[in-house]
Amino acid sequence: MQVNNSINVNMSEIKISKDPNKILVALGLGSCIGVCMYDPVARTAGMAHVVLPEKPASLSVPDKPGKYAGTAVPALLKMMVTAGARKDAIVTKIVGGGKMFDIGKDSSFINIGQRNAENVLAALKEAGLKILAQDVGGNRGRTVRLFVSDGKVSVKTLGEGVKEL
Amino acid sequence: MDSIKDLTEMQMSAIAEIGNIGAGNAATALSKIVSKAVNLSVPKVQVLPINDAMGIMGDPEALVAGVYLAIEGDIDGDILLIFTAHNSKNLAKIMMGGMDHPEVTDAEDIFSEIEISALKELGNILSSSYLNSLADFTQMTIGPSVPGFCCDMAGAILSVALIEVSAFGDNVLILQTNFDIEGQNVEGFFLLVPKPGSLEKIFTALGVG
Repeated sequence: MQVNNSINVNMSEIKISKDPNKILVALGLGSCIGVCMYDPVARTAGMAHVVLPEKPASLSVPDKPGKYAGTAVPALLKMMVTAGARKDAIVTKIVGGGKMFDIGKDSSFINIGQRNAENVLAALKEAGLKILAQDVGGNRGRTVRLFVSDGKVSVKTLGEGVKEL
Repeated sequence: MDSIKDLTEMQMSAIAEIGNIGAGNAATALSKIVSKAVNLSVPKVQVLPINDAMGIMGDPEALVAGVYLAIEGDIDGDILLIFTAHNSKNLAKIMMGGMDHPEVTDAEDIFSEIEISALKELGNILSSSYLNSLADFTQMTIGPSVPGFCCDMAGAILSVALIEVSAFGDNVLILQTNFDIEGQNVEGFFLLVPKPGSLEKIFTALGVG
């Protein structure tokens, strides 16, 4: 029997791992974004599954930081550092932000993937983090895997199979 | 605030009853088109954590086909019609009167324009039936948007109806109907996901607010 080494990162969640046998995975991303951080020296990996570009202005209650682009990036960074990563060493890769359906108009909702990607990139820049690679936009669903052992990131689509990012 | 979790039994049955009548209308409309008996199950009304809702089609990476429509008018929400890719191909064929068409291939991940428009039309019929039922009960003006089509990973498609709701809490109200068409073994999911603010409007209109 195969041992399941995957740690699922569901919507709005942030997960960190230092176990080289583990793989952080966000399955079936549509407009959501998988934000991957890795410190190759401390061999610490983290992933956030961002759902929305920003918190609606009408909401004042506390919420899961992993849900929104602007709060997920600093929260993930903080957890990485707490787990022993050095900020200067952290590299990031982001995946997702697609547009699954075209209903012939340009509503803010239907372009949520694009806004997710823009806000995640802005938050990474603001945090002063290096963006090593990105696979965002388009109209395909994606599964992203981050291998804790070496920081490798793979992206799976149903059209093109698995490729390394 | 996570008001969806606190729905009363009466509010849940009101939604179920509207869904039930919508399902009946949809079955009638659909069986006229395909000239076969169509059976839509009594809709199941569920309040689920959003991350559980992502798994209702099983494997989030499974190949499925979906038709999406936004609910427009006095309330907002999302409608998704989802089938396995295999069932979608069958269904498109039934909608096209069972005829072969030069553009149509057997490949389950490739849908020709004519199949896509057949499935979009199916989405239109089912959505309109449900929304008409809801509009009758609430005396509101409600209709579906233009449909969109997508064949891809189940998780990526399901998330479309779940992301906006997620801003308002960790739970989602889902109206789920399975249906099959006589002798064709076609099963599909019809998901209707009202936005939280819209739910309150519906309940107020129904007098169960």
